[in-house]
Amino acid sequence: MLEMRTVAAALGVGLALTILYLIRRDRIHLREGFFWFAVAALSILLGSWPRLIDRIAAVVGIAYPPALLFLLAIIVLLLRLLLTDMALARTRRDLRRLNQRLALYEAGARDRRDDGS
Amino acid sequence: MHILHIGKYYPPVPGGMERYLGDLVAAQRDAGIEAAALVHAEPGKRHADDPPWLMRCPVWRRLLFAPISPRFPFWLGRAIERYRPDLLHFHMPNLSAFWALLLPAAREKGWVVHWHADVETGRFPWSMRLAYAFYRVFERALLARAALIVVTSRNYLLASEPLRPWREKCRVVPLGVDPVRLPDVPPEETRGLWPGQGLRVLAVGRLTYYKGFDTLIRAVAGLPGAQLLLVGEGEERPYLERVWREAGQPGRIRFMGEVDDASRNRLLASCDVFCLPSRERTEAFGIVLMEAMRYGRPVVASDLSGSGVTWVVEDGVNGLLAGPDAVPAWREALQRLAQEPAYRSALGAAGRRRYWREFAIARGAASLAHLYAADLEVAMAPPMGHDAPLIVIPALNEAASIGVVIDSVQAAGWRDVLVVDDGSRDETARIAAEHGASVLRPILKQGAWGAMQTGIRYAIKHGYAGVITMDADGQHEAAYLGHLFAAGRTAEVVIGACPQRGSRLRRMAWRYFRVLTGFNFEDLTSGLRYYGPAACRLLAGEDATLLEYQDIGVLLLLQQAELSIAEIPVVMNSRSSGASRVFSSWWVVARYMIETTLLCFAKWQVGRGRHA
Repeated sequence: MLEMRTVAAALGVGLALTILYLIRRDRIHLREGFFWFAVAALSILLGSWPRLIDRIAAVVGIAYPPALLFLLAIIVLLLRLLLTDMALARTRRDLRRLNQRLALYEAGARDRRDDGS
Repeated sequence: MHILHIGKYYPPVPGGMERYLGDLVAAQRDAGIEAAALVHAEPGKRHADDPPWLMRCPVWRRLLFAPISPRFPFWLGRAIERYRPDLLHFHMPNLSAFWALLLPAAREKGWVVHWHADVETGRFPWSMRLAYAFYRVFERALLARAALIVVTSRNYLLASEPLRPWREKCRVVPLGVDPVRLPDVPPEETRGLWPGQGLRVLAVGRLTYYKGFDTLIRAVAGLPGAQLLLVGEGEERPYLERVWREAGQPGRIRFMGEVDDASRNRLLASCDVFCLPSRERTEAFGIVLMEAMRYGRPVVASDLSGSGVTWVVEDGVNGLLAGPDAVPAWREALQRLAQEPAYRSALGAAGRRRYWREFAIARGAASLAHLYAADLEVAMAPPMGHDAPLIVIPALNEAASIGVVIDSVQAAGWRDVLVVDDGSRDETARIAAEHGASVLRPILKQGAWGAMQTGIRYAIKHGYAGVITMDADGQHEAAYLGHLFAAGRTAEVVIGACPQRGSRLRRMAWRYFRVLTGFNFEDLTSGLRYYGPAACRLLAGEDATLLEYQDIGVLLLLQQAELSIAEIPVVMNSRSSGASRVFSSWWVVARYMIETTLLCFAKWQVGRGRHA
């Protein structure tokens, strides 16, 4: 049977490699890439040293250490989701302005063509 | 349109960039643009008779040729507060311009960078090159932030290293000179100006290394009978006098020193050849060449690669080009002109024509106004012929009614109608165009407000003073447009209100939002509105881009900008076709109510309680 520690570490390393690969292929922007890389690094750390989570749980007063792990995961995911929504709003605004600007340019080009003929 | 120019100095301080700035501001003010200028004061000089739109900030000291002024950011902030410019127009190089990068009030504005010259470091000592490395950081930030970079010639742009990454947003506008400063000179006033009889050669400029006057002196010395007048002062004067003495031709050259504008014009009008023997690209354009061309003089200039000079002087058309530092080539060119007076006058006449065609300052000012409008969406003012507003009609699948609506608007006397087609699948756009409206068709569907904003941006770009929006479905009567516009004289925004329309449900919704926002308008969702110039500028901006409907979000934005909003009663028809975008289904209504409620809470202004 595999040791739990090996599995966790392998998952972390796999995640990190996947992210590196995606950055390399320009599938994720460097800024988000850094975030995910930090997540991968954390999962390697916790995977190779599972006792760490028990210690931290003891310090912050959580009786059942895996709950802390889940809590952290949820916080990280929520944070990521919020950032994604912010990026989405920004992209939507840019897209709209671009769309409007293009319509203006098209109309301008049409007018010039009509004037010229 | 309000513009704040930020320059190094301003006339009467001498210099090409200064002269251009002075002429440009005057030309823009003549064209009805509220142009103001913020520059440095020359140390030790008083300028008591400056007009109120000219601010000269005191200089603490000069460092490596650049005026250093720690108070500049405060002056800049004050100038922006006082003139409320739509855009800032920076004339570079100018160290103090970088303060704008740190000033929030300045960062809010649109920026135009006028690139007069690169900073040439080739001959500088290492200390200056080091200083320039720091300068570059700010220079890059300024260029990155600029919406538009104005370059004086294509030649200079293509050779300019700092501008290479920004070529996309560079536009060429040639420099110009105000003809008023260059009046005709009667021939009798030029008598006795020239010492001898031979070819009259004139050169003007600071007596400094890059001007290359030693080349010219050597060329003239080898030319029998030719005489040279040199206008200007500078650190190289002793050297140039020595060059002249060594050439052994006393009496045929005069160092005139600085002269006033009238004497300068007399010399320009009476010379046979005007020369600009500069040896470096530091000579970016040669404003003085245009002045000589104004007086119909042939010019001989250095064949400087990467400088605007070779564009101003077309070899064999309005002058001759000779290699920089190439004394024999210069002598040959002057010799030829000395022998062929007819050729001289032909070149001179071509130069004069070119001056009036391209270099009179009003031309440059007009090109700039077009660029401001096209690239920064700042309206050209005063809106000549456009005192009527633009009628903006957003439309989505309104083929059945759009033609009638446009006809009725035009019949009521409104010529300029713009239909923004928000992705109709029917014939709306074609019918609108056939009925004489301008039509915009954005590629992506963007909702009622997005379409309206597109129309507002169009109006600003084309210099309209205001916008009236109305629906395409025929529920708004064209007869009320006049009332709306008339009410717009006293208010920035006018709502055509018809509170009787709509179901009980809708009236309940309005009451709810009135309570929530503290507005006391009767009709919060009416699409029949007038927006004045300030409202248009606000609503065309990025802050308004993500709104979905033209109603409460827009009103909140207008109110927070403290623009006056008025309401006039109108009668509306029941919808002749189509259905309201808002009150179409229970699901849409519910979403609208929730979203708008959230918007009201999100925009709650702290400290003011309600939006009252």
